[in-house]
Amino acid sequence: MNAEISSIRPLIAILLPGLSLLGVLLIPANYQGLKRAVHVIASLGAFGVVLSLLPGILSGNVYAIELIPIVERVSIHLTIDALGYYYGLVLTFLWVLATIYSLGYIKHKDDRYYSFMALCHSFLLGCAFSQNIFTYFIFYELMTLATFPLIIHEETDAARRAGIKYLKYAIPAGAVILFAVLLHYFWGGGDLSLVSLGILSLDTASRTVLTVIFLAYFAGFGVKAAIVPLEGWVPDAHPAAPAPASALLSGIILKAGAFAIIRVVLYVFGLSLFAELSLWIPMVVIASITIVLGSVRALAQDNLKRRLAYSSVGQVSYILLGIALMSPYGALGGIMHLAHHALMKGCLFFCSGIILKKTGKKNISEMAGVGYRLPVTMICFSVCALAMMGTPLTVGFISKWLLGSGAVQADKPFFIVVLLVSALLNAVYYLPIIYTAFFRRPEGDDEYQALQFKGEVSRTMLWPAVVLAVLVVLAGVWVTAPGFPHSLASLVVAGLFPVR
Amino acid sequence: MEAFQHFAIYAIVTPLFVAVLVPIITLWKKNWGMPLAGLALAVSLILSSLLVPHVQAAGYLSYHLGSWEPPFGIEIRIDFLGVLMMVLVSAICLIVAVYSLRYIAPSRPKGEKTFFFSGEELEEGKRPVYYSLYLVVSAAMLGFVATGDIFNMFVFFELMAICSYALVAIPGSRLSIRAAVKYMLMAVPAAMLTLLGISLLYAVTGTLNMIDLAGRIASSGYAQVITASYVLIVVGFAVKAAVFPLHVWLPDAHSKAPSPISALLSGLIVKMGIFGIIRFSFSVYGDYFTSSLNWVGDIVIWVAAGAIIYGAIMAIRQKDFKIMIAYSTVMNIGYIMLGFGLADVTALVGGTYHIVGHALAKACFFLCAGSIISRSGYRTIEDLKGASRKMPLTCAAFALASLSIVGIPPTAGFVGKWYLVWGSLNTGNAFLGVVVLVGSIMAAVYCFRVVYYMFFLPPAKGAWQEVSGEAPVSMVAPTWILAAGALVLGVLSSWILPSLREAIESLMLLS
Repeated sequence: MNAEISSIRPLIAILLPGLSLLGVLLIPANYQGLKRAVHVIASLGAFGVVLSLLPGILSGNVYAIELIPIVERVSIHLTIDALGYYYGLVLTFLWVLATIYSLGYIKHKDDRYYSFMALCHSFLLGCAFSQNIFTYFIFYELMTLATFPLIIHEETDAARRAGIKYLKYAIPAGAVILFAVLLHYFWGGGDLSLVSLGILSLDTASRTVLTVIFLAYFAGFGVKAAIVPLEGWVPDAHPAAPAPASALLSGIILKAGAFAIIRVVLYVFGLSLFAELSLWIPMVVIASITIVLGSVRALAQDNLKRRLAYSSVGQVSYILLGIALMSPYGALGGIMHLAHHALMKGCLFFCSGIILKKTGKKNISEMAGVGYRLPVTMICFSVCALAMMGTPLTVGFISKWLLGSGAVQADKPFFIVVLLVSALLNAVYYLPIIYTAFFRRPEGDDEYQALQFKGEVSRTMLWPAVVLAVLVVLAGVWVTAPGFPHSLASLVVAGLFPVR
Repeated sequence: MEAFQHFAIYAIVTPLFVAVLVPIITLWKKNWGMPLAGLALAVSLILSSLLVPHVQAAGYLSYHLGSWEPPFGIEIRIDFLGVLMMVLVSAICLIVAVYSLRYIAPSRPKGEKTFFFSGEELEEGKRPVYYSLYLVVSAAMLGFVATGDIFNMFVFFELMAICSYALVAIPGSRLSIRAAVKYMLMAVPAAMLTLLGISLLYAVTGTLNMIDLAGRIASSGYAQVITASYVLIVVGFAVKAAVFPLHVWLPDAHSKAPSPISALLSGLIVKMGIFGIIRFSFSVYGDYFTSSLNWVGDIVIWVAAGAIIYGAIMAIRQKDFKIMIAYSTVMNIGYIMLGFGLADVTALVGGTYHIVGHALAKACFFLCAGSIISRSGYRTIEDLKGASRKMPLTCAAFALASLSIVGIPPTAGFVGKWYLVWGSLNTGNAFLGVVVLVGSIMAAVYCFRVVYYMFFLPPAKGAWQEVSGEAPVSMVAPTWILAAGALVLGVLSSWILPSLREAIESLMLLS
């Protein structure tokens, strides 16, 4: 069944968001509705193309297309294997929702915003479908730059500062990654493949070189994946960006770093080499520290989006922890968490945006009684917050369960403690939000009067949040449905650990 | 002899010939300066492009001027590197010539009432001189990269240099004349050094033909004289190439010249010095260079690393837009010299590819700066805040070109740096690879700061209000062609790279 099929569909999916760019450029300014329709159709189209590949992927096919050689032995080469497909599916899906959500949220300089949304979308799909690290790097760097206008979209001083800070982290990171790619190229015999197993080996390179390559990759991509101590830009960028952009930042863009680390660990190095060089030790230590520290820092935040951002810092490291455990369940949990966290955090940021739009409140301490003004929103928020803590029947529980099993399977039960501490801290910083929203009476009579239900926000903003909240539960109950994270992640893991 | 073999000499002679015609014809037809120059350069571009397949097939093209057999006659000898440079030179000269039209003689755009004078335009009497000098510079560069005779090379080089002093000084302002004099004070003694070196070489070998020289140098028996001549020639070229620490003339000359001339200076003229160094080292000194002069490379790589870091720091510190771009050139010359100094095929491929990529992107930078000066008169980086509101196309071209200068994939600048780092790993100098990448980060600082100012900051109070809008098409189109060229040569680098590598291999194997 494992057929490699030459197909143009990866390319089509990447190029489709470009339609919205054309829309911005060609459609005159007074046809705003048409422009926005083109954006939604383009993102739906990309999602549709990716979805159309699902049966083939599930039956083990790989879709590939080689485009143009850039430098010797290295070309822009797209391949959709199970892992790349999985990331691509998550990102196109969340992108559709974020685009629809943006229709209600973005009211200023929207042409620029949608153009860079579309560019980011294309580049991220390029990352997801990269056959080699070189292609990945190209798309990754372009995506890094295209994210900047999204972060500073509000054009406040804080947003500008956050944007500059983001670049200060991201550009040196790009250089570090490029250095790693070159070392990899030089000592890996020119093979930069991300989809075939174990490119690097001790036959061609010394232990030191391999360690340096890994650490450079880990640090370089770690900036996006928000590992401590490279996470500094995350808590600034998220509150500054508009809500749909923060949802994509947390849900998808941070994952581009984590996704690359997954590729590097599982494919480029391969588990046996990774174990032999003991590289899992630094990775697992940093991931654990990040999980705990992210949660601890989240506790101290009053700004809702800042708290959510710190929560993302911790949660993305779940993925890294799962991979670094090097056991089938750990890897499964880590990879599945990539999608799970995208669903949960996407919804949470959408809700925070609705609260901001509807009530103008940014800080949790001011949100007393918000649950009565925005009942649907806050119910979605609560569902996802509970999922974050790992409540059973939600996706958060599935992730934690698998990661815990993975720790046992790898004979490293200590990391269950890390997970439990994190779950506890999650509860400590998410529950007060729910409590404040539903059970605290606001101070001052004016505030109290404002509590009457005056209708939710527009449907374009509400429905994306509701869809995500429903999926958070659905994917937590019907875990193995085809197309849901488990079906694809288990396909990936089955290819990596032949004997389960 | 087939027809195409004459193409090379016509490509060189046409602009030279038209250079003489321009001042005469413009006596009657005042506006024919640019069309004539453009036509001549277009002919050069077409002829040199037509040479490419033949050079690719045969490896080189040899043409004996007036059918005098070398070593008595002058030989034109073009390998792939040479023809690549010819196409690059004629293309950029043509594009910049088109740009010059409205830069030195602005016209009032339709529907505009007020008319802004930037002080950069030239009086009517100077315009024919400008195009005439411009064509001589172009022809001299074409001749320089094509010739196979070292004295001929020197003559073309000086022709180019002398006309470029004049072009720097052509606005006639105190600052531009001072810059031109500073340039001359450095460059004329450098030319003397080169001449002395060539004389020494002639004295001990008795020939000026490169092929002949390559055969005779090793067996001449005057090792110290040969070494001395090499050092003299290379130092002479290095001054013109503005290799750190001999770059001091560059920031002034490049920033005070009219912007199209700055583009030509930074994009092409300084590269000629490096081309000369590469030519002499591999085609002339050949074996002797690799066997007895290998200490040169060890010096050059450190000088180059110094240039990269120094140029970047100085560029970051500048307040004046054009001086910043000029220091960026100092830095990028460091990259190219690094490719030469590493003495490795891969690194030299990176260095030569960087010549091409940097020429396009840097010419675009200066043209963008020129458009902004010509439309608004603003010269400092602070002034660029909010520039994209009035000049979106120019600013976008600048942003695109800055991707190449920083080395973001998939631009031409990236391809060059990739090979440079690969080459430094090949030769076991991983540290220099780190320098290249650190340089990239620093380039990001000074380039993206400007892009950020242009696009994401509001204009300072009262600034940009008087500016009526975008530069005319004849100025915007050239900037976009250059910026797009830098991108296309990154994506489609496989057009050039295999042949370039072959050419570099044969160049270095010959030695």
